[in-house]
Amino acid sequence: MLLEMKHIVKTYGRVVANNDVSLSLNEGEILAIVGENGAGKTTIMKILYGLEIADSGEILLRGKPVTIDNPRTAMRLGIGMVQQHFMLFNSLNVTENIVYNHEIAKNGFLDPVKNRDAVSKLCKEYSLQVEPDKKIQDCPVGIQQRVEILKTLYQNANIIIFDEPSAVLTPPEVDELLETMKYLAAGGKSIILITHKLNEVMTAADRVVVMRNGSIVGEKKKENTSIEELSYMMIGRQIANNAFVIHPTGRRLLNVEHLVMGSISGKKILNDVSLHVDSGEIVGIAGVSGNGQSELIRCITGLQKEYEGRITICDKDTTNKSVMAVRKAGMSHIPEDRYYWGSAREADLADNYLMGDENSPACSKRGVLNLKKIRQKTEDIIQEYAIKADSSYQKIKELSGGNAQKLITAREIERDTPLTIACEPTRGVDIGAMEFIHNRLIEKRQDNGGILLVSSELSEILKLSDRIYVIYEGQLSYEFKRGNVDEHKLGLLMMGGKVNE
Amino acid sequence: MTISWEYFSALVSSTFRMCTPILLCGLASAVCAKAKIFNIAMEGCMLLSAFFGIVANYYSGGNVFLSVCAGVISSVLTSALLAVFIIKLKASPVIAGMAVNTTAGGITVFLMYIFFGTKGLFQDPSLKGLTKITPFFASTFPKMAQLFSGLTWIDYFSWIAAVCIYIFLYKTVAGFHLRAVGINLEAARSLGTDVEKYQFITLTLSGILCGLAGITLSMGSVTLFIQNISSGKGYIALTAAQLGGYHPLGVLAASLFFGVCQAIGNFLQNTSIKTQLSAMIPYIATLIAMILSYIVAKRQSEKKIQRSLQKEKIQ
Amino acid sequence: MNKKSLLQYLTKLWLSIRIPLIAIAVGFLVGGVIITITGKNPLTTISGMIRGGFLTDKAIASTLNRSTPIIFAGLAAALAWGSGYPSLGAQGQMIIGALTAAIIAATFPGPAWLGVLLAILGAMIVGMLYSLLGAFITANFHAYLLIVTLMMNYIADYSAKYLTTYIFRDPNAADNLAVQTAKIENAILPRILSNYVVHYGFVIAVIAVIAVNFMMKHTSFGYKARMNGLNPSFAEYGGVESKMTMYKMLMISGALAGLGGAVEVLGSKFRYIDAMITSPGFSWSGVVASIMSNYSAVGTFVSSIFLAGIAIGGSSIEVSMGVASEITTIIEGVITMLITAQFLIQHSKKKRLRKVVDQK
Repeated sequence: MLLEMKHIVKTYGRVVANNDVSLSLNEGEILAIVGENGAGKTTIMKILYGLEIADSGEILLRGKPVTIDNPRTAMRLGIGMVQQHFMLFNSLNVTENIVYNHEIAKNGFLDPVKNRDAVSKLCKEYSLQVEPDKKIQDCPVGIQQRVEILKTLYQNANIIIFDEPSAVLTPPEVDELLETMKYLAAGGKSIILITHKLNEVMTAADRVVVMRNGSIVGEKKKENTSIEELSYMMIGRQIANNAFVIHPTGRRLLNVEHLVMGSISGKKILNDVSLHVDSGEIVGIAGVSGNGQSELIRCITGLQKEYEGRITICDKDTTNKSVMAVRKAGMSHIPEDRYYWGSAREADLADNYLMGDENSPACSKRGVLNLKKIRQKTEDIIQEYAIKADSSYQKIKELSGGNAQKLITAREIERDTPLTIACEPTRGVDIGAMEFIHNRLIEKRQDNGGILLVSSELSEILKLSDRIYVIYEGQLSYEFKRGNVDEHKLGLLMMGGKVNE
Repeated sequence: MTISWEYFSALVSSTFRMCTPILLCGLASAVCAKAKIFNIAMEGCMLLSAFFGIVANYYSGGNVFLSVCAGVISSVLTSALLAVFIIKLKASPVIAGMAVNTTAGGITVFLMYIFFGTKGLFQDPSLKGLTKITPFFASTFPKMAQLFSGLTWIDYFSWIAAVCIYIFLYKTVAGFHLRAVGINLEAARSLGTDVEKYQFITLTLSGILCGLAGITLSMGSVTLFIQNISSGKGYIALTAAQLGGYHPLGVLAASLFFGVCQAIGNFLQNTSIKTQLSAMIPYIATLIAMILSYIVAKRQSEKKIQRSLQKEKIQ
Repeated sequence: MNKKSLLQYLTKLWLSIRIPLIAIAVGFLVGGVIITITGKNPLTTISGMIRGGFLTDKAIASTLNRSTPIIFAGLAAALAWGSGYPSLGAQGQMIIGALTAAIIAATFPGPAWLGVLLAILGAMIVGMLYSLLGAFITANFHAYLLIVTLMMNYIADYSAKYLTTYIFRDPNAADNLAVQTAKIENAILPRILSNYVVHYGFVIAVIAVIAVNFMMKHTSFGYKARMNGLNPSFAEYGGVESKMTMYKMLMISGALAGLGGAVEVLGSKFRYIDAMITSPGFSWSGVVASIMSNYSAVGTFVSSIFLAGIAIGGSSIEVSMGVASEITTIIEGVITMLITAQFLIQHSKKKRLRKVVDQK
């Protein structure tokens, strides 16, 4: 037994991220920790790497208890982490990045030859090829990740944690990575792989730990389980609301045809995506976040302009058009990050509520704002949506997350556009507000509006959607209709499994 | 039009002399920029150093060593104060830097009035300037030596400083970490580098360079203090740093270029190009350089994308 | 507005004034300490400064006169910085605006009022175009607006020096070395009351403040610009086009700065004199005024008058008490440093006192 984490508890405010989590790791083993977003897998690894400190519990390395309060301690103990966002210096070369802070030097002067030799030796030892003199910015993403791996090996890591490593890689690069992991494990290193992509798990892992809602719900050896079983454990019992009344649909409000979006690294972030939303229906996109949903919404809402394909909103071609043009075509948008996209922290509620309507006849005349009316509208909506605020003069940053989200949702829904794009509309929101927002969305559907709902909360998708697409690795893999939703299939597709039709 | 050697060498040596404060302050700004600090307070630090150098000179009866110390210390303290505001208190570097510059102007005139009873020019026979160094090869190559006449140790030091800073940044571990801070601050911090410490020390020590630049102004070719003796050289230095790509050797080249422009401008005074126009050259050159560097970088990245698309097609 | 909203509105107002007031108080405190160390009485000096700037009728007139160009520079800065585009270009725009106005007003043969009008329009157009040039370079070549405008300030200043020395030089100058344009005889902005220096340029400034305030608070264009300044992603999400906003805002800012230069020529100096804009530091005071008021138009107006007042007051105590007028610059610098830092008030007081000790 190399590593043991015993009874780890970690709470953030009222949210229990890790609820009495215990796991172990052997030498030369590849352990996969799987779960949906918010299951707690990233948290437990942050605790292991010293980025977070547990509230209670203990960590034992080779039977001896250790305290890991920052990443430097973790590295000294032989624990390294390859994070999702690389910590690299783009204009420096590979060698400089690998040896950073552990350079071979004499009297304070760098020895570039010795450093390069050390890196070459490292590459030979672990069969990981990189060009020591190449600048990071000239290396493909797969190589950049390899540099991150070499960094941990250079500091003699015995345990290497990978946090969603395949998110940025093309399929051939993913295969190479899994081979690398197996090679390292065979050489005695221990690997922890955090992922939601079950085919990777089945290829590379020896053991799998499944987490859900902060707890471990299962632990299996790879040969004793399957993708189906794992996805079921990850999602748990979900009951689709099959008794919901089917609502008649009308005209096509949103039509996305063959959307393709690339990236500098060569990976296709969106790969031939086609979907549609008609009036009178709520269409949900289910998937673990990071599979292209954010980019898809950015393309549809006009925030992203480099893509191929065609987007039509209310019969108007909005492909590559400006945000203003897309909104004018009849779209409103509840953004996924309420403080980055959705509001201005320092502005008051009235200013935040106005966005998008500043030229509408209700609020302005020939470019001049009707401040009294705007203020009144804001006060009215505060009442109607039961937003806990002292007045409309308050800055939005003083409101709780849930109340701010209510205001933003109100702004977009009350604009009464045919189409509404709702991204993570109830993220970080209390139960009461969640119910409220859900009811508003359902009301809009009754009024013959159309809603595209993107959420990493599967329960939310299942509760509200008339049709559900599943997105995985930038591709829509299936379409479920209300009344015919198979939760098992859904979970399977979300995690990368294949379904025989 | 014939130019005598005397005239030409006077031009060259004055170019070197004019170049020094710009080079020193430019290096200060460039090193700070390498650590992701936007330092525009060189003008104020130079001014304070020039002033306190003269003050110490006067009250110590012409002790050059004490004067240099006083000047440099005043500049370092000011830089340290600026560092506290920018790094610890998260002030806007532009506003804080400009405030230091304008306040330094106010402080120097205010104190000048109190110490010396004048607001314009202060000169006194008891003041002693920096010694002018005759180059060691003066006896063997007298004509060459004329090119370097009238230079002080600070002038020579500024070129050495440029080379030393280059070596520091690109050959030492500390310089390596400093550059890393400027390239990706968050990455450096996550990899264990005390980012704030590097920035603080860099900004504070850059005050030494500005301090020496100030001493050159008030104790170099002439020994006196005039209100606003720095007259915008700090901003030219900022320009030189920008034009030189924040690389110490680039700053050296840019400073020489500006010095040459100024010298040629004086030379062409009696022809069609007037000093006012030639004085504009550094600023126009910087704008053109910024535009060109963007165009070049864009072409390069376009080529890269082309190459990767071709690779994909082959695959 | 119900009672609760009124209370909230007043609270909001108080919160926005609180920090500048504290900064001003500490500024005076530091000034007082410096005055004490130099052997003069701080209380009489500072009260003399306030009297000399604000409390006699002549003082008020001088203050309002000096505040006029600062208000324009402040509005220019408030518009640019407040919409997310920190530009230092007001100085260059004021210079070329002033020169343009001086030339047009001095050479225009027709009626005086028309001369003034054309001079003002010419200055505004020139200021607007110059600012637009800076915006264009920034937008299309990924340059830093700050550096571009700094460079352009110098180019403007030297160009003005050149034109004034060689092409538009005053033929009737008493002093051969004076770098200035010909005196404007008729097309000037007259004084509001004949025995006080404040001229109608101040009235134009007040109109500009009202107009800018209206634009920023009451129009959809101003709303979009404000949101862009507070959170550019939010503005982008809402359909605001960043490039267009930048061009429009910087153009208006340039026009205001040009107008400020023109007004100073037409109402105060009646010609363009080399360094008339750079030497008194109008554009930097304008930036300080806009920061003190968090980029609001009315706040900039009040702050500009305050800054002008302490400058005038500073000059007056130099004569009466022998304290150099530069004490004003020092106080202004302290105020600026405090406002730009983000921290607790107690923390700042300790640091300020330490600075004074170090300087001695």
